[in-house]
Amino acid sequence: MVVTHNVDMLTRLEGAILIYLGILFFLNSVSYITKTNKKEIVSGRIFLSILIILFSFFIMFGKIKDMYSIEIGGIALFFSCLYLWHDFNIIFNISNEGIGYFCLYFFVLGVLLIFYSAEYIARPWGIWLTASWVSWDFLLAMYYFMYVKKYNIHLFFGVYFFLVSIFTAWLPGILFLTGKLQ
Amino acid sequence: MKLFFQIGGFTSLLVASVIWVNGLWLLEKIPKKSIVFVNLFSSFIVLSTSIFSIFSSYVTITSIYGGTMTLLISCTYFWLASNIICDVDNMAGLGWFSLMVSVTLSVLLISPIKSISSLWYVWNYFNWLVWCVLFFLYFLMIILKVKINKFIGYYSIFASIVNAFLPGFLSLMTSIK
Repeated sequence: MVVTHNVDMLTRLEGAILIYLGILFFLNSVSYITKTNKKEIVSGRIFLSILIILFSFFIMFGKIKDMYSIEIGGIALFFSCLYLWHDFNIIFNISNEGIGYFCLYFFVLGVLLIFYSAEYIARPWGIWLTASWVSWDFLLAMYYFMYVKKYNIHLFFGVYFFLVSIFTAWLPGILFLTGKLQ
Repeated sequence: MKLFFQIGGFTSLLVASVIWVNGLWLLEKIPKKSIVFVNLFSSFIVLSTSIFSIFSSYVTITSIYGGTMTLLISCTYFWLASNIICDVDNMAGLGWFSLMVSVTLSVLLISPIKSISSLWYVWNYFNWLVWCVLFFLYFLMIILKVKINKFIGYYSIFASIVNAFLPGFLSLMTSIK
C-alpha cells in the first residue's frame, strides 16, 4: 500500500487523526461532566484508538513527511495508548493509579520538551502548537492529581478537557482535513 | 476512479442494509439482539473499504474526505452492536458521539458545497446532509430523550433506500458497464 502521493494528502491524514483525537477527547470530557456509564464508552474508545494508531503509523513511517507528522503522530499514539489503558482497566476492573504515575512521567517529559522546543515557536502555527503542548501537559498533571492524589476535580477537569478537545484537536483537524491549514 | 465507484457502490449497498435493519428495529419490527451480526459485519467491511480508499495508491482528496467520515459511521455501528451484546441500557456515550459526528459533518458540509459541479457531487452533498441529520436525531433520541424512535425508524428506512441503496446500486451497475 502507498501512504500518500504528496504532502497535501499527508496534511489531510493529519487532519483525520486530529478529528478522531478531538472526538475521543470530547467523549472523555462528557464522561466526566455528565457522569455517563464508563463501561459504555469503552467500545467506541477502543475503535477510535485503533483508528488513530493505524493512521499515526502511516504518517510517521510513510515515505513522505512534513514538520508535523512525527509530532502529531507521536502525541496521537500516546493518547490512544492512554485511553486503551483506561479501557483495559475498566474491562478488568483495575484502579487507575498506574495511569496517574504514567501521566506524571509524561508531564515531566512534556515540560522538558516544551522548553527544549521553544526555539521552534517561530515556525508556521508554532504558537498554537506550543499552546497545545502546554494544555496537554496541564491535562496530564490533572490526571496525576485525580488518580494518585485523589483530588475531586472531575467537573473542572471535564470542562477543561472539553475546551482542549475542541481547540487543540477537533478544530485544527477540520482545518487540516479541509485544506484550510497547510 | 472506476474502482472507487465500484467500492463505493458495494459499501453503500451494505450500509443500506444495516440502516434498513436498524430502522426496522426502531419501529419494533425486529428484536434487538437480531441486529447485532449485521451491524458488526457491516462495520468491519466498511472499515476495510474506507481504509483501502484512504491508504491505497489510488487515493484522492475526496477519498480521504469520504473515508475519514465513513470510518465514524463504521465506529457507530460497531459501538451499537457492542452495546447490545453487553446489554447496555443507557447509551449516553454513543449519543454524545453522535452529536460530535453530526457537528463534524455539518462543518465539513459547508466546505464542499462550493465545488458542486455535477450530479454526483450534488448527490454526495445530499448524502452527507442526510447522514448529518440522522446522527443529530440519534443525539436527540438518546441524550435529550425526545420520543422520536418511530420517526427515526422511518427516516432510517428512507435514508437506506434513497441515500444508500439507489446510489449504491446505480454506481455499481454503471462502473461494471
